[in-house]
Amino acid sequence: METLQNLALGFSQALTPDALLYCFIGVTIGTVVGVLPGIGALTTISLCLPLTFHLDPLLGLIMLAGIFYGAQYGSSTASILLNVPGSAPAAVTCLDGYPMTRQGRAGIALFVTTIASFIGGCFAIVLLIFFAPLLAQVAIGFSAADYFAIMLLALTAASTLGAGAPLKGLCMMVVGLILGLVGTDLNSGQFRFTFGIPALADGISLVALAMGLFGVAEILANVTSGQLPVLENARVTLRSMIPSREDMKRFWGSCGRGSVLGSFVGMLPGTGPTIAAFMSYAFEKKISKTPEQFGNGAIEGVTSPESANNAAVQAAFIPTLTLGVPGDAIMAVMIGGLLVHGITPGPQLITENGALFWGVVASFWVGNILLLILNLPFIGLWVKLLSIPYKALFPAVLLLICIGVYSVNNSAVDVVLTFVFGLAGFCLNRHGYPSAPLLLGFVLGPLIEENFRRAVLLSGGSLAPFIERPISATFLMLTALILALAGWHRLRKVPVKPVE
Amino acid sequence: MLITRLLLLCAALCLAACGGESASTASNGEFPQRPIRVIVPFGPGGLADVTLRLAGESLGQTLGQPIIVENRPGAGGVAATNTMLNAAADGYTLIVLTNGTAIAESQFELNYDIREDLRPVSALAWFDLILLVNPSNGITTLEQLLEKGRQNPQGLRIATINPGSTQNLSAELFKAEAGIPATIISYRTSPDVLTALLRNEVDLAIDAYTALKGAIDGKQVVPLAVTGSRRNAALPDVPTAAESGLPNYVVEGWNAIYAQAGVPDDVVAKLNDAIVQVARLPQVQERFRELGVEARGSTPDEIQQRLLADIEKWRAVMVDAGLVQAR
Amino acid sequence: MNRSMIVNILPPLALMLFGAAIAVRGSAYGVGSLTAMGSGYLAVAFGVLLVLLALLQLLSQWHESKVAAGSENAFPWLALLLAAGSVLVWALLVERIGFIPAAVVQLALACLAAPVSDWRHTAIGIVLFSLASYALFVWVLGLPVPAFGG
Repeated sequence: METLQNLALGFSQALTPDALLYCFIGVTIGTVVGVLPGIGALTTISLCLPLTFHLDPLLGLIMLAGIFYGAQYGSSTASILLNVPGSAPAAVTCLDGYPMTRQGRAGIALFVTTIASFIGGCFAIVLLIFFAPLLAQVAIGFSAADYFAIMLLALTAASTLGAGAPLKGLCMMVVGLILGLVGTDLNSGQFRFTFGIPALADGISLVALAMGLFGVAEILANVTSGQLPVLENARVTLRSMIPSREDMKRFWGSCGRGSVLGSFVGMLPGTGPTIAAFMSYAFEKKISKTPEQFGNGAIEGVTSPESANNAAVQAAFIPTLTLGVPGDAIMAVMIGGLLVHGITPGPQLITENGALFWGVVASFWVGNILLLILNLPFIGLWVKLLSIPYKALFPAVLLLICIGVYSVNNSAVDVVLTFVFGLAGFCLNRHGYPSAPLLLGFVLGPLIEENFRRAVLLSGGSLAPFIERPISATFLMLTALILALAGWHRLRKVPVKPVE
Repeated sequence: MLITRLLLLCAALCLAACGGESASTASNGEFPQRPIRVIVPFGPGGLADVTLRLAGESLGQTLGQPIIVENRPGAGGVAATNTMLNAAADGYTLIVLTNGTAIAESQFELNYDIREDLRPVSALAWFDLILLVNPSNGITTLEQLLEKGRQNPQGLRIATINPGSTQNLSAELFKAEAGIPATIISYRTSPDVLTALLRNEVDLAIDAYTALKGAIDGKQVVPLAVTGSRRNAALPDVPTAAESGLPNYVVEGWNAIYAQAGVPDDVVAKLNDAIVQVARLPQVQERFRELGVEARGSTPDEIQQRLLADIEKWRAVMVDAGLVQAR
Repeated sequence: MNRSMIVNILPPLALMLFGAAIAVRGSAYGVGSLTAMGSGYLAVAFGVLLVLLALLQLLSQWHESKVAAGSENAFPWLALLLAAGSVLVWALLVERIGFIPAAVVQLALACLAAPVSDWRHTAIGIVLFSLASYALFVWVLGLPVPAFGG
């Protein structure tokens, strides 16, 4: 009952005209900027943070949160339409979203993305409202050994993402793992593969890598194909956006699984939406009866990562607001915003600043509904983008990629890296080496190394915690099971399904 | 259409925030004539950024021109310093240097010399680090912790952020000063350090007050000591490490404003005046104190001495810890 | 061995070379052991793994010997160079000559990668889009790059 009273207090805060206005401004800026390639939620929030310093804390936070999930919604749009991800997590959406566009199903892809995002977001908000303190305790109970085991499972399960030959995918994954090593070794402080370039000391920028491999490589492939793609010239009617009954049947299950998985990954500090999206995609492919459709426009390949990444971003608020532990970099920036207002997040936030806490939580809901209203009519507009001739579109998209990558760290070196990865990705893709496993290896590699070494350090040089801790042992067993199954299929010479 | 209007609205907000940069111009040709840009070598929301933004507003009023904060994060401030050095040496581009700058000096091959290419203006903020433990272990004083470390053959497990950070090197220094065996375990961010302590997988965490304020106020973690030469105004009951049996263990972080070497003396003097004055303002003092930071200006010479001393201090720690080769 | 076959063995060869280089360079960072990993442990492990995987890939291609290759006779090198180069050029110019000129140069180079039919319209489009992106990113979102000059 108390929760409901609190919620009522929250809505009374979130439904004032001012709060609605700033929520609306936030989600609109977020959506528009999120659509732009390379500019994800983190960059947008960093850029807009100073704007909120002059606002009332509640309004500022509502606006920032709006930008945050608005960008998350928006970033899938360019993935689906142009195979240019709006942000790193949206790279996963490219895998099946873009094939859907090529099949003339762009409207449907955007529609289900919007709905899936909404469901994922709402699911995590429900968790946040009713179970936040409990879940935060669970999340914080995961030790380094457990993280290691989970990440290893994710890597194993997802090692053949997208379409293409499994061996080539594995090669690319290892390349990703290697690229993840670049920068300062977290344990010794030693610089690895930085070649004396200071900008590389912090590692390769994820955005630069994702934009190069997906955005630039895709454009180069189109430009050199001799025939520029004509993506869509059909008029978008409301009907062309509505998924068929068959689509919807596949939609609900994948969306539900994505929401659960995304919430779980999101509330673990130190993970984030990219990992959530990859994991749910891999999971969906694993349990699918038709895994061969993945990478060729499977609707589950769009809905499950989209619901997962939105659930993850909302679930990231669980440890932030209850323990003061930001789930990811974006949360850290938002906490900085609060500090400027003299408010410290943490367990006492709910008691001391109840109106603020519940106001923000309620505004999440308001914002998600605003986004739904905002996005559905936008779909037609976005699809019309495709009627711009490609030769006019791609130079502009390239410029937006440059700016987007630059804006993350205000670093020109990052843009040079995008160029390098674009060329390399183009060459490798041309020969059937997929980009997605590389990105996954890059994201998970550092986490795997870091947590493995930390677990060993914490146990004083023993490998025992990996087997002794129940969470870790369970996940390691699952990993072994997957590997054993793959080996078994090989041995039996079962017609090689793309099993990992 | 809606978007256009909203963007225009944002633009208006932006302009309002900047105080209408083109509108105001100071009279009689005195510095400053236009907005001053200050480069922060960290992302928005960090300690250096937040303190500068808090002081920046008052500083802008004192100088009669707005202060524009520009974030150039990454790589020990190398990118930020290069941006600074590429601008004109007229005092309209300033940079925030920190104790981290003194460390980067030994860490990176730099294409500039911080001592030659920049000139000091004033210190702005001073802060200490906090030694924290998990309350469930029953340890309430630094002495008890040291005793535990001596008795345990594995020594203490200390959590800090990445190697080469002030926090991490402070842990190295702690290990050396306390003379007990210890394993330093690195985490990526301050929240990760806090999580490790909450999970009770480490015996001690060393970090800045700002980063862990929520957990300290919420009594999730217990501060044992502060590393400054004086007690922290935000934690008046917490003794300094020197009071608690480690007389030589003092770590003080600072943020200071620097200009380019070629900036004229009168401009530096004017800026110094303004910063020292702003640091004394009650509202600035108050807001800084909430963050566990002390607002205090200095003479250019004072902060330069501190920078030089810290370069030597941290180099010695890094050499001892095997993080860099002795030069 | 025909030309397309050579082209097809190039990627695995390049990956092997890359893996080997990483392993060699990584070994200099200190390898250590599984329970006391040096900074180079995983670099060596991943490098060697990549060499093995790429070798396997190479052998499987050899074995199949039916190679699917695109018609390589007229590869549009110039288009590739212009489109990819435009990104590099933007990166090199933006902090030197400012946002707007860098954007104009980038857009112009990229436009040249595809056949240009109407010069005047293209030029107007380039200038307008440069200005619009300047307005959005620098003016509204506060990206710290000057319009002109470094």
